Amino acid sequence: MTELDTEVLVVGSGAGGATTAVTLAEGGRDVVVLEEGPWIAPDRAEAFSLEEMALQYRHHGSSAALGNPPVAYAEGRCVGGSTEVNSGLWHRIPGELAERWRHEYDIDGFEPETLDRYAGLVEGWQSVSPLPGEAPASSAALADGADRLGWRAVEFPRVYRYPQGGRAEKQTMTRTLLPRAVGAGARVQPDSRVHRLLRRNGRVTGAIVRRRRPDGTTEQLTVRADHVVVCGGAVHTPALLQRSGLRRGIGGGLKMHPTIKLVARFPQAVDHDDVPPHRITEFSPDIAIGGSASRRGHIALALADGGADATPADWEQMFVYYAAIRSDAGGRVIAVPGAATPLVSYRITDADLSRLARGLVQLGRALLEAGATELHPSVRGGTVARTPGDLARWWDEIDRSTANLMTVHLTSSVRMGQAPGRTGADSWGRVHGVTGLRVNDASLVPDAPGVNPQAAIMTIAARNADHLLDELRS
Amino acid sequence: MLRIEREVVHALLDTADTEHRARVEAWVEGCLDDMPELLRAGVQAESLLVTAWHRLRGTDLGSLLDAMERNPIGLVQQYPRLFRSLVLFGDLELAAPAR
Repeated sequence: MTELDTEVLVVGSGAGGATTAVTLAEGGRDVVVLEEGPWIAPDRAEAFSLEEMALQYRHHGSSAALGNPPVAYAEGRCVGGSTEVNSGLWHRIPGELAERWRHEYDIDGFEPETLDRYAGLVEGWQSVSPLPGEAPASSAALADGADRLGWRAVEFPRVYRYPQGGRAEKQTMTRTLLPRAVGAGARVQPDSRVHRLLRRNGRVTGAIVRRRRPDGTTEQLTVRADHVVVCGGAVHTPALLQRSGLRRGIGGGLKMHPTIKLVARFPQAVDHDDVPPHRITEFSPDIAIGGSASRRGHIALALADGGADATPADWEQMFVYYAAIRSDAGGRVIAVPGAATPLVSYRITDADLSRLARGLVQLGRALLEAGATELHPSVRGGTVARTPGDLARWWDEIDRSTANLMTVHLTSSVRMGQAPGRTGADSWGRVHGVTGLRVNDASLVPDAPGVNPQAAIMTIAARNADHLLDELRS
Repeated sequence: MLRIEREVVHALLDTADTEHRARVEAWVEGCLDDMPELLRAGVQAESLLVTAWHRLRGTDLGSLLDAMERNPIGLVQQYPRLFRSLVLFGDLELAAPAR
């Protein structure tokens, strides 16, 4: 059995883990990062392709939260985590929500100016910038439809660099923070799954790890650390904590953005290479409206959901759009003894279904205004809408047995704050009831933010990593 | 992947191209192997029930899947939808020029 010693062990290398690692390593601390998935070069697989799903997604992208209806979800499983496979859209935490969370969960040091400072810092690291030039047609359709209806729509910046004359580069963790962390001395070990944390006298002292060698064989590794920071995401962080005997406030408050889609047919061909940067923000933060990955396979899946011909000849005139909601519902993550993957459940409420229907109808209105000729909802037996009058039928057609829901945003399964009984960690991510252990990822975000959560995760992670660094220095 | 699951994949594929069928089958097999264990156990249990129904009643597999998809019980509906989704996505993405 191999042993490894470090001052700080970071479990997970996504938005939270990489931010933690770079802050601590550049602050002069000894850091080891363990990542369950492989290290895949950023350009190896085409975005949203089958190859990317096989190489970089957990479960090939086929996970589901059990419930009525179930909610399919996807998350990254590779060095860099979901930052390697997401759309890279960047939304700061809405100020009003941050204030609500600060009061509701009694979070220290969560003032707007503090969050703005860390958001600005991270945006500099990640080259957050708008798309140069005009937005593609698929994106402009959202802006145009909103404009005609007198609604607000915004083109959001993304974590992209646009070199002059070169190809746009998404600033994933393997391109930005992880190389910096390694440059500052951090050791990043891919293919290393943490089985459980080691505890002694109320203190976490390291982890038992199963590492896959390049030849496919595995070995057990024991990592001893003065401090452990778990950044495995909203599903796998609580599962690891539960496997390690920590259950109070852990795994019970899972939140997500349940999402419903439609396929729009336009009179002319549209782009299919990227995710639209425009969002209709008229109904934010409760309902977010935007565009999705729209390769031929995605269009076919969304068409098949509604029972339409999944392989139309004019598929290049089609595009997939979505309405995502902030949900009243909650879910659970439960580590099951003997199983590598926890059980995830989510209970959609009637109010959620109503909000999803409203979101889909409003999305439909905007797209018809923008010139779409046909809308196919991801609803079993759903009406194909060709006029605004057709959209009214969706209110009755969307129910628990017909709606196909999915999400790529999962949060809040540990929750930060001083509020006793409602959080799994304190205001800085220190897990209640044990020392030497912090969480620093999407699990801490107190509620689903109603927007892509990467900015919220990295902002909070940078703030908490600074707090740990100060503690180590003192 | 269980034998009935291979048969389901082939029942859902239109193409006669054996190489393409094999590639799609391998894709679906990879997805099923990589599923969360508890979900996979549920799918396998349903596959055994589908096997029994298919063999005992002699029902055509395509018709059986269509009937399952119309069933009011969510768990029954989900089975053909899962396979249809995996086959459809694999079929198109493995056949088409990358996009």
